[in-house]
Amino acid sequence: MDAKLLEREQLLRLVDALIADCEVIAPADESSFSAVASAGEMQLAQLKPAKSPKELVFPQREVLLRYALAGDEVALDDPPPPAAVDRVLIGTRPCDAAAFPVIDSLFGWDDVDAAYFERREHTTVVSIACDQPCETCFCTSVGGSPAGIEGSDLLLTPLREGNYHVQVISERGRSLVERYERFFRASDQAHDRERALLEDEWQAAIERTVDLDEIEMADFESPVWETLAQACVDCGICTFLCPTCHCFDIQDEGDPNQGERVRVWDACTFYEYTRTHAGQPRPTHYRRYRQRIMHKFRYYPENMGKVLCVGCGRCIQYCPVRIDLRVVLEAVRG
Amino acid sequence: MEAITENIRREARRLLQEEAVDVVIGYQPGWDGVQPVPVFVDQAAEVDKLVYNERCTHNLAKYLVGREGYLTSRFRPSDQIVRVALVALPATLRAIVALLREYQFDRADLILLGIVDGTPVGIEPDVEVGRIAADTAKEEQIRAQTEELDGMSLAERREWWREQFSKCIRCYACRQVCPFCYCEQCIADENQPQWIERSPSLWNNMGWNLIRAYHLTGRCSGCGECDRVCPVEIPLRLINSRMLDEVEAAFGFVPGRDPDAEPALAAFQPGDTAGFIR
Amino acid sequence: MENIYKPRLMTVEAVTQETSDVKTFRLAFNNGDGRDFCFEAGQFGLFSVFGQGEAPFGIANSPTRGPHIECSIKEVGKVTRAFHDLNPGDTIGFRGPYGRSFPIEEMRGQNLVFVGGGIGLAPLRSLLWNCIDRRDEFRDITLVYGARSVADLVYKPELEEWNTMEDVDAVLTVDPGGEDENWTGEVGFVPTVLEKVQPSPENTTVITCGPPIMIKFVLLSLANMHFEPEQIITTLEMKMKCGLGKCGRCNIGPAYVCKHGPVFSYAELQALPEEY
Repeated sequence: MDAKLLEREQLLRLVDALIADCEVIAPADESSFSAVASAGEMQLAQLKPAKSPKELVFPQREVLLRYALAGDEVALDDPPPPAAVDRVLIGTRPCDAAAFPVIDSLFGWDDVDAAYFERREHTTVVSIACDQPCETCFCTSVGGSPAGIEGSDLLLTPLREGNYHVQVISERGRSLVERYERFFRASDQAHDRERALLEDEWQAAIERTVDLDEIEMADFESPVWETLAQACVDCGICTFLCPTCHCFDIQDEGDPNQGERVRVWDACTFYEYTRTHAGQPRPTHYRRYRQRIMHKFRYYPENMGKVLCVGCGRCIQYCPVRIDLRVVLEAVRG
Repeated sequence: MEAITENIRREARRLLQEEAVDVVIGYQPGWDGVQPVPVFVDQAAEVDKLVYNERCTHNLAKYLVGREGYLTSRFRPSDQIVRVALVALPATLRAIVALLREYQFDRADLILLGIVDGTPVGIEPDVEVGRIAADTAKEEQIRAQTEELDGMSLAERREWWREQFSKCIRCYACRQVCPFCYCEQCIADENQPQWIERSPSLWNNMGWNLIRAYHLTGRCSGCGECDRVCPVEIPLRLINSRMLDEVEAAFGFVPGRDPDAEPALAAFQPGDTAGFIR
Repeated sequence: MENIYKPRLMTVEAVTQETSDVKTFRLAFNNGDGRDFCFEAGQFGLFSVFGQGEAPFGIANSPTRGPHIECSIKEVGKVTRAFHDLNPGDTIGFRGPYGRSFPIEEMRGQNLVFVGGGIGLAPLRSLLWNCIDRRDEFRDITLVYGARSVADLVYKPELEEWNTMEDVDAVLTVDPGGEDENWTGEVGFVPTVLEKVQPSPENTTVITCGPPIMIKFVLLSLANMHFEPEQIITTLEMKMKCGLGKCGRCNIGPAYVCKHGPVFSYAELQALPEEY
């Protein structure tokens, strides 16, 4: 489908119309995405909330199954399927949207995580391009762009005179535009050209880039890892806020007679992550930090063909000691 | 500010050159050139990395303790002593007093390059590298917010805090930046039994946050780092400062002031208030 | 769509106390749940006690000796303690089989040397019985197995059986100081006894499993005896949760132990970063 145009006020009206028909999830405050009851509740002025939208498809807590013992009998039940409610995620940035295809590979690797893909199918992603990337953004270093389309169903790019240029990227995007066509106008070549020019401008505005080929030469044994990770406090902020990090733990909640087996987010930065009675392969925090970087930039790409990072920069922005991933990637080549 | 930076560098250079310490823990300009971050300098030639400005807030005492702490590490032979010089903010000095009282390390293991602000503290830095003004603005803010909460009914206040704790994502950054959270097996990580479930439900989050608040009661140095680092902006400092007020009111004890005073919740005095026993 | 995290139900048929802290569980599928189940030696499963949790254990019996499953569990923590509290008749969950199995087809026509220590004999046992049941596909079969003391040896009745088999050469040992007055086997650490046995590297595959310190010295001994890394097979232990390559926990270098292992050749291990 050809590109469309959406005026700023029409975006708000479109969102109110969507809310009448389905769940609409948008940046609601500085911390998170959540369901909004009216277009006025969306906080689109900020760049992006602290939490990424990954919890929409990969909730922090997910019930995997339920068990109940009755006498000698054990009954296992699948959890109720994730609500097959269609929802529109609006106001993600291209980096957050690009994260979805990256982790799709993992959740579909051989054994398919049904609940994850059910949520994915029912989520239409309407992203808004970044006209002001911030100083911690580095999407262009990992194959992304402030106006990139990867992972989005529709991409709204704010043009100079106040309209959004709308790229229709997928079937889901197309069907949304068709259903709500009354809000959209046609765009023309001038708009398309302007969009492309703006994208170039915004890409150039990204202050600090890093050459990912450096990580190819990363020396596992290099003493620089220890120095880079010295200040790291081993919290889970970088992992939990990251749109692509997906490590989890499985625990039983309840008692022997009934309860739920749940999946909860976990982080390779935590000491407990690989600790067993038999041993602890990463007892000191520089080893955990090294594992995190190598997994995201070397091991995951070797298995899945994609870097496990979209350059959103949250790990830099929210790190209690401001460890800068870009500096790390430059420093670790052998 | 520049004077303090100069003092720190001078002392660090001297201590490293004289081999009086193995490492100087201080602050360096962050990689964005703006927000200072912790640095660990072990070469005299590198002391120019050290800086001090009003944006230095990390409580560097955190790096002394715990499983990988410079003074308590599990991963060094116990006869291998690391001598540390520490750039210590007022809150860090208070933390050191309390940590010494908890027998975490010896005073002799540490050289304190202290930055003082006139508030009472129960330790003399080895070198006073700077004097700054006490952060009354921060105190004011905390007082104002606390008054607002006190003005709410119990039900309103409970609802307010429940809303805060529902945001918690259990990243444990609050724990990890805190010098007092040095337990090698945190109660939150214990699974026999799993005292606090890992799921971020309101109930579990309250369990985590309130247990941590209790474990800090009578110990917290008021650095505010937990509050600063929380990615979902839970106002943790309101809880900890309130507990400090409560301990002072009940026991006349303020952690960090008197190196000889028994920590209020670690010792029983016959005169201790027992009004809660009904 | 299938719930990949949902286990099959199994009933504990029998519990054998192997040592003071190791028990072997024989498990049967409930309700014919095992009809379509098959596995290969070296694979593992995620076994769970409902309400306590899930943990990975190697399948310790041979696929030629089913239809039940056996696993040997050392009591060290929450889930293993829950297993040790089970009685025959209790129900547990099982997900699997997961992982890469021993390359039994490539071992055909080879001499096989099994080198095990302590509870490390469990995965080796699966393969050993499998090979014994296909005996004429393999040349010499040797077992070198030891534990800290006589009390710590596992599968004691089977050790005797292997000892008496003509076409299996079983060399059993206990660590110095671990023998009792009835002990007639060797006394010495496993790597030392292996050097006494001096297997020839020609047409030989070594399969080894045991505590890391034993593996380390076994590998040294094998290098001294001119074994190539490709000839040595082992199985790796790493904390696991999902068994499906998703939770990230068992990742070492580009390998996920639950998907690319747990069986690895020493040559493959050399290519992985040394995380232990």
